[in-house]
Amino acid sequence: MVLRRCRRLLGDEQNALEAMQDTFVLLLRNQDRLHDDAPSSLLHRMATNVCLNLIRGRGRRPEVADGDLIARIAMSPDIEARVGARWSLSRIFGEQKESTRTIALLHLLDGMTLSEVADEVGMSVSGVRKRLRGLKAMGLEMNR
Amino acid sequence: MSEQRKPIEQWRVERYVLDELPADQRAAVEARLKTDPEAAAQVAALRESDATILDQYRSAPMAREIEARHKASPQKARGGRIWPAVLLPAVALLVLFAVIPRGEVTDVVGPGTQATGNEEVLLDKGLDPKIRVFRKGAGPEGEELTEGASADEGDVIQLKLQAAGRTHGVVVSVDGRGHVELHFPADERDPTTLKRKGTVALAHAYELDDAPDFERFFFVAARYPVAVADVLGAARKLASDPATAKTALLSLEDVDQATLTLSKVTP
Repeated sequence: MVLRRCRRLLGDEQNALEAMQDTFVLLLRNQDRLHDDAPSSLLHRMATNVCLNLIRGRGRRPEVADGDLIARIAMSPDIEARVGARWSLSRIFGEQKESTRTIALLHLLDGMTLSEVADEVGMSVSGVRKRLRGLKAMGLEMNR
Repeated sequence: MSEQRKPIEQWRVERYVLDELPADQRAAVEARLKTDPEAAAQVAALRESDATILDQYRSAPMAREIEARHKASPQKARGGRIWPAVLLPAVALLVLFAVIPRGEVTDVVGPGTQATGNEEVLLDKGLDPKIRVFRKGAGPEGEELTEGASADEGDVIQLKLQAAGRTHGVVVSVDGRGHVELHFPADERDPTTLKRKGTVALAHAYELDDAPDFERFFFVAARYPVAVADVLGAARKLASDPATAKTALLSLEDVDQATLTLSKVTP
């Protein structure tokens, strides 16, 4: 599942393999924070984050069907980082764990509803909607 | 195109195959699979992809690769794109499957509660079966007792299991008086199935009696049904020999065994 996810986001087998390995290293690094619910969901999000960071780092559009959308999401600002203290406090208390980029990808690429995204990342639907709205307000044109 | 004809989202298919969809969503997918050949083909393709990936990238070498990456990694982010890493030997089966070491069981039933025979046990692929023992009373989860820890008459013990991918199991204990007790399943005639999903360990706690010297727990696990009578027989045989009761494994073939021994404080 993880390798397929990385392939889909990166399009390149070698990069996908590296991202997969990074995902598992990340997973084991943070194993003390793991819980029992739906491990594939967690891995899906972790792999997504790893891939987005890779794309962002290399600044290139992935060679996949949705590469343009993925690249724009990867390059987008993270609204969370700009909204200020409220988000930061939420992060400290573990309520907001996912970057806006990941949320955007889950919604726009994976086709999750706002409710499904909210369940996925442990946020309220309104919180997810607010993140996406903020992202759009910052100029990211994200049409399916 | 109708909503029904849209392909099932990839993430949903993945979780369906991994049996990680909520019951309602799983039922919806299953209903669709009966009427939509394309959806069925999606599932089949994913299973085939799993097999191909496993064939292409064997998990053990991949685990070694990850370990090498870990060792080569500084404790700060490499290239600013990944967090610091710590790798465990259990990585092998983690690499290709969406299975992670699961954490604590969450539904601990209080003392005196009878076992239902339907205890849910974690399935942690890539790890060894493990039995964990908690003494109730200190905090919501209790105090975890490790191998050789002291325990006393009256201590209420909660057992938790890490099934590590095994689908069936039996839990018994032997004590310094040579007594054998069955903890899972609740009855010798009950199935030994370990529930594939869920976070609940044995549904009953166990109060230590005044048996002297030790209390030793065995978790016998396998990937096929385990004969409870055989386990009990092996436990009784072991318990009857004080020289080995605290150290030897049960005389059983083709099963995995995890044990934990408590030292009894009172005679």
